[in-house]
Amino acid sequence: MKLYQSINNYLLRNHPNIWITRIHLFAPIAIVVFVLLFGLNALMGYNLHDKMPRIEDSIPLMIIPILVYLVYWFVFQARYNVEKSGGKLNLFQDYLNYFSYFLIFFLSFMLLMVIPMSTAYKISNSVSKDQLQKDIKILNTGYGIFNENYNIEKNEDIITFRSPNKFGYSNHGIVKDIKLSTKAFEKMTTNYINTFNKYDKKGITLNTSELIRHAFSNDVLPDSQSWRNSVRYKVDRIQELQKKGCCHEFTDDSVFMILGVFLAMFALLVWIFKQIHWKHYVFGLVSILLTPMLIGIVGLIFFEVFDFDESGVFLLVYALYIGFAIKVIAAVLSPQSNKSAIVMAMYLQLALPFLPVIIFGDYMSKRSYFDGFEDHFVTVYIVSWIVGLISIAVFKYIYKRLTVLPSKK
Amino acid sequence: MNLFTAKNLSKTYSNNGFKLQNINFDLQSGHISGVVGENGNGKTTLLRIVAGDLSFDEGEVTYFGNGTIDTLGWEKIKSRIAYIPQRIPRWYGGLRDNLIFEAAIRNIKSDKADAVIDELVEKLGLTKYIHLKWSEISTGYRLRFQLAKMLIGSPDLLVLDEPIANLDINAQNKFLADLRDIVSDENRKVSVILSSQQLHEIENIADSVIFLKAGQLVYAGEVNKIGESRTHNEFELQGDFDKAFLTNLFKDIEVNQIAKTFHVKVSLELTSSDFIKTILKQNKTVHYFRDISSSTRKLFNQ
Repeated sequence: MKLYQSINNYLLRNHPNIWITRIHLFAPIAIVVFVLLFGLNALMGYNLHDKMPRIEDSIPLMIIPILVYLVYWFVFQARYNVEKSGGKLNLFQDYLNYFSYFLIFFLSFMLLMVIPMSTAYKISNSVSKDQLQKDIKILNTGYGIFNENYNIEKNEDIITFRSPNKFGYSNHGIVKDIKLSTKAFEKMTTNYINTFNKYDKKGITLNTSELIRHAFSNDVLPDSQSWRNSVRYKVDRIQELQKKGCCHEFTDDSVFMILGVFLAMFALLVWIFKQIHWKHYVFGLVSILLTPMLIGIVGLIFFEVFDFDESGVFLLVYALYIGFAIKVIAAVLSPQSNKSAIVMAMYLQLALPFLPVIIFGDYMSKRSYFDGFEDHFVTVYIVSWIVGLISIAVFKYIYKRLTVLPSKK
Repeated sequence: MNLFTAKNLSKTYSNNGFKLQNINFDLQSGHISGVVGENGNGKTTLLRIVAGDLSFDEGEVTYFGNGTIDTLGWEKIKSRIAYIPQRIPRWYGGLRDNLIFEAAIRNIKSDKADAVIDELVEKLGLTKYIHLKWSEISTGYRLRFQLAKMLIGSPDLLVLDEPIANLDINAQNKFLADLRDIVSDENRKVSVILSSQQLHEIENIADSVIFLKAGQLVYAGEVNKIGESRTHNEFELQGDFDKAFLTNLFKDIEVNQIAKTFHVKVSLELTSSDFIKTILKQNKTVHYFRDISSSTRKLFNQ
């Protein structure tokens, strides 16, 4: 607490632009909560007898705490403002603030994912990699013999199991024919029972000799009750997490790209909130939220009534961009403030990063083939990011100008 | 130097049709100017125009000498003006933190910020309350803390809209005395324009006064010159007598009675002391008397 107080006092007196972001309070809170929850959940461990948890089931658990966290943080953002209080922020400080908002949203996302991630972590660590490979080998062999109806031939002390060429555990390839001595078969059977029962609470209730008799009488062990609760699924899942990494589902490139868009837009919304009066902001936000409905209505009119094709729609979208830009530029040059222009500026800034995507969509719609779509899309994605970041520098001036002008009423 | 000059300033509200018309006045550097008038006569509109918060339709204004809006730009103009609206926005967090924040964003950083705040709050008699929160202090102290906050920015012009409207008489006097001290402080070089309906208090501290009636400028000039061109003397009084008593006692007297108070107009030859002596000679008691011949108070009666 003392450390926080001294950091708080230092930032207040020397870096008020950072102090108002409250990143020194909210980032450590998020990190500590993340570490604690991750640690606690990981420490609780995963009991191999338990049903394999579904990662997505635990995502909603953190929604309410995160909303509380974000609302509380946003209240602080509403309370203090350097520029509205008469101070000045240079461009570097504005970008610093923007990325601090981005960080807060990123940490919120991490908190949302802490239970799924720690669950995945504890599942992947529930068995060591070496042990899992040994188990898989035993289970594969056992599964082939006791569950897949191998043809068994006994010749003196050698027992041959002829594979029906089916897949075994965890896509480990086709289980080949197996030749075992009677003693080795007994040992293998015992190992199979032990290993299987390690992953299944109900497990195999037969002892070694009973199971061998079972196999010789060509009886097949029934599979587990449900796929998610089956030993096959558990072993598969653990191996997948161990191979690809426990967080691979959250760190996929496409996940990062989509996440990046959301976090960047949320951070931009907070940054815009800091630039304009809250009444204009709320009005702008409501307009933006109603936009999909408006697009639907306009789209319906143009497609159904005027029989527009795709290129017509793209033209309409470009016209809207140009119209908004003209309105904003006119307001910047005007001697008095224009509230609707402030809202339009907000609208335009939020829509600008999507312009490269729209242009790309227009370009692709005119081509008959989609060669190298993904490579191009990554380039467009990066361009969109750059446009969004540059918009901060441009719109900082626009908002400043629009808000400093005297109002009409 | 004229901090602000308005020539033929006009503003019309399209929704209710109210017009502020042909306003001409200037604000002198190092002066306190009071804007007085009844409710809905354009005081707030005028102050908002001065502060650059509201646009005007016609006329010309200059700031800080002969600077026009085009040459100076609104950003620069507003950075030198501190505007305190009628409703002061709430502060969040500790009062000290708020003041330090205000100092830090103006590049008064680290220990220097503390030193500046300590000096300022001591001057305004706020040291005892600086550790409190907004919700823990009275309206009067909130106004003084807001004033302290504004002063940190070292503005050239303080624009205060009805600052003493919600204060008790002691708080009003204390606040106005603070204003006088601030303006008199040679290190600050700040001027004040404030609106109010407390005529007596405003005339006590203001160097000049602007009187508005129905959006028209009735008087703009120095306080001590209000009655210079008058054609009669005006008094307000209360006592144990009636209107007939006054009309019988004085020749050429015009008497209006509002509740217990008589507003009288007499010739310039009849001074206030002669007037009151004549009444007292009739063994009547005077409970209240005020000579408003040189006060904007008389403008309300016109």
